[in-house]
Amino acid sequence: MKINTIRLFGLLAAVFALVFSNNALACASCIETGTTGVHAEKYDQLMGWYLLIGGIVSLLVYAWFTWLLYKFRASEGSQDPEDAPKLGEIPKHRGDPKWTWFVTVAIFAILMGLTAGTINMVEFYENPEEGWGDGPLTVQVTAHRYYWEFEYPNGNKTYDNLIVPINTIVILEVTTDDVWHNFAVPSLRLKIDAIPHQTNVIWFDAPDVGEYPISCMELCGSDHTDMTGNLILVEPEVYENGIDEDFA
Amino acid sequence: MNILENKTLNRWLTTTNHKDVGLMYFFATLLFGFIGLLLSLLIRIQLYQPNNGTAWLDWAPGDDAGAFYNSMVTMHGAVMVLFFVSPLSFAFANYVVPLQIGAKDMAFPRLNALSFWTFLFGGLVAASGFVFGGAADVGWTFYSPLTSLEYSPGNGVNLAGAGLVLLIISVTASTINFIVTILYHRQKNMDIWDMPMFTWTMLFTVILMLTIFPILLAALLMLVGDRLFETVFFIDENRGSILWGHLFWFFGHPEVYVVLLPELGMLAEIVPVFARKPLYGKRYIIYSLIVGTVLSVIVWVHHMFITGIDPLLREVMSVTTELISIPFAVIMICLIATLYDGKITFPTANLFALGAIGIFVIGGVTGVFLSSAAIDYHLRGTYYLVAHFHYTLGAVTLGVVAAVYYWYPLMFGRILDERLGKLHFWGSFFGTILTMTPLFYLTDMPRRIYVYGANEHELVWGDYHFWATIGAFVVFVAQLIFLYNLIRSYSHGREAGSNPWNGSTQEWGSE
Repeated sequence: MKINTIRLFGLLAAVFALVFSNNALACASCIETGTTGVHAEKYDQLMGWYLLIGGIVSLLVYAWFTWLLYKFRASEGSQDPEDAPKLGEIPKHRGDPKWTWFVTVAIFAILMGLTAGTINMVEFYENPEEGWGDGPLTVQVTAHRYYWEFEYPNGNKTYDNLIVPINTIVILEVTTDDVWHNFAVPSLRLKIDAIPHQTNVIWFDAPDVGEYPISCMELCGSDHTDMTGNLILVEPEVYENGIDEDFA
Repeated sequence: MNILENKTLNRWLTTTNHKDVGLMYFFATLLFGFIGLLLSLLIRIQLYQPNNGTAWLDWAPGDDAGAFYNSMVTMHGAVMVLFFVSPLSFAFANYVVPLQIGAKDMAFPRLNALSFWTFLFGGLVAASGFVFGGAADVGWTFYSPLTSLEYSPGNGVNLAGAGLVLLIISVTASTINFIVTILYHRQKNMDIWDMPMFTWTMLFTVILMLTIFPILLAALLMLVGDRLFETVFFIDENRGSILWGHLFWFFGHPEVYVVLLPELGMLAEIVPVFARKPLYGKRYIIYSLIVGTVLSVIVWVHHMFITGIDPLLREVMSVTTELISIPFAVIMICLIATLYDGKITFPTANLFALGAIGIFVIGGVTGVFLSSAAIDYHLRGTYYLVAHFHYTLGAVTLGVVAAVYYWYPLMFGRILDERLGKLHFWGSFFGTILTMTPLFYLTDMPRRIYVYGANEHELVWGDYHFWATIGAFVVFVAQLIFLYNLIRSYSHGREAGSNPWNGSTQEWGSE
């Protein structure tokens, strides 16, 4: 009796832990602050679908798994099933192809639905025309060990802080002077690799004034930790006035 | 006394018996596993609170705290994947596969011994950087040109490269050995469809390894050329850097399936025995393994979604990556369905196996999120990714440990202590969840940084890292219990008899 209680408690605790971690998936990105921009909006929508469907599927699996463990646990005096494994015997075939096909087709259908959303989103990231604002304004981004260099259309440069106007389509042409880096602005759901001798392009269009952290998200050497910066979004007038003087 | 006259030493140094080789793999991988575990603890201690100083990093060899931290994350990854989980499966494969198929030994016993010794020295050479002026600190992905002589002048990369080359020699010899053994040395009356599941998965594992490890060898030789002979394969201006990315991930992605497949085979052995029912849908699992193995070599671009490659390629590889979740979902469903109508008992071996399935579901579902190129744009390189692959690899490790409990009686004639075993299981299971779940929340924190907390938002990360560090210590204490159990049960464990779990596969009938 006592042992069974402990077992039941263990099972419940395990289920609770798994549901808790499942819940964490659903809460992913819930601690992020200062979200802005058209990418973030679309991204969060797509991620919402993935989370919802992933959450439902895994909870169903856990419910079924737990029920099986509880229902078919050995109890005192219960007999081995007739087809229990016996030494030296090849186990009989067990299983029904129709269930396997059902699982395959069901997962395939769900995935293809989600994939349609993904492909839309990939195309969106490729097409700056989908932004609504003025522009485009093109900024050259060059990564160095261990700082960022931003060069604006008029030739001015800033370091670590990228200053651009709101409600403008901004195109970033990202490259590096030395090793691989990765230019990331989590609040805007932006990320692109900075690769030697290659220019990668990414764009954004954001409506909220503020400071948004920039990180390097690829290991680039011993001071990788310090390679941070800020995306500073300002009113267009501020940008026009500031960029002529030395903004940095 | 001449040391070479020592009989025990002589025996272990010269043995070619598959059981002996399996045992040596077992002990060597446990050693590497504890090295990897200690490195992870050091990482967790460094991260447990915001603005943690670098005081303890400063006694590191060299005077560069950042480089030392980087070498810890690099070696933790490389050691755990290449020198712990995968070879631990090979320990069991060496011991069990010939018994399961009624072969007298491996097809080429001496080659098998060679595999072990090159593996052991490969691991020691790779880790020796810590003693010789700094281990590789470039991340286990070895992205070029960070690995070039210009940016990594030290010995670490050379030593890691040399260690990996030795590992590849070991793996190549081993794969040929297993393929020949499994295909040609089965007992006469055993049809290939009658092979036990662990042997099946090892067959797919070695075929996959033989496909991908030569690519890594080629890439490493080119890298060595760049570093020692002034070639320019990966520092060339015409896409040299991205060439490394493709070569590495063509190896690197299937490698995670190399780690996963044997573990699935172990679960497929263990779960039916303790559910007292035959495995559900053995044939469907085998078909799924075929599909999964083939698909695994055409998904590697999902590691390179944001390198600026063609959007069409990104979309295609998103789809193949999502498709590869189907065969593995089918396998997991079949494993769970095996429980139906059974009479399930819960000794430690089964707890670990069931726990592995439970953890793997989360790892798999979060993997589907990351397979989407669009979602990967945001989550790549963050702690979300770290949490995802530690859930999958955590599940793999739980599965392999289940195999330790399951086959220990076969190897040592005694059963591992159940009471200690249950402590070990609950510690490992909850510890893994406690360590990795908080990291799912850190979708905006970069990997491989050793200090954080510069602003108010970053201070919040500290709450999550605190719990992750507690979890890591729970896991660590559980593994100490495991170590104690392994040693104590060797002399004090319950006598196992010939078939303690009522298994059906042949290794339990052998002497």
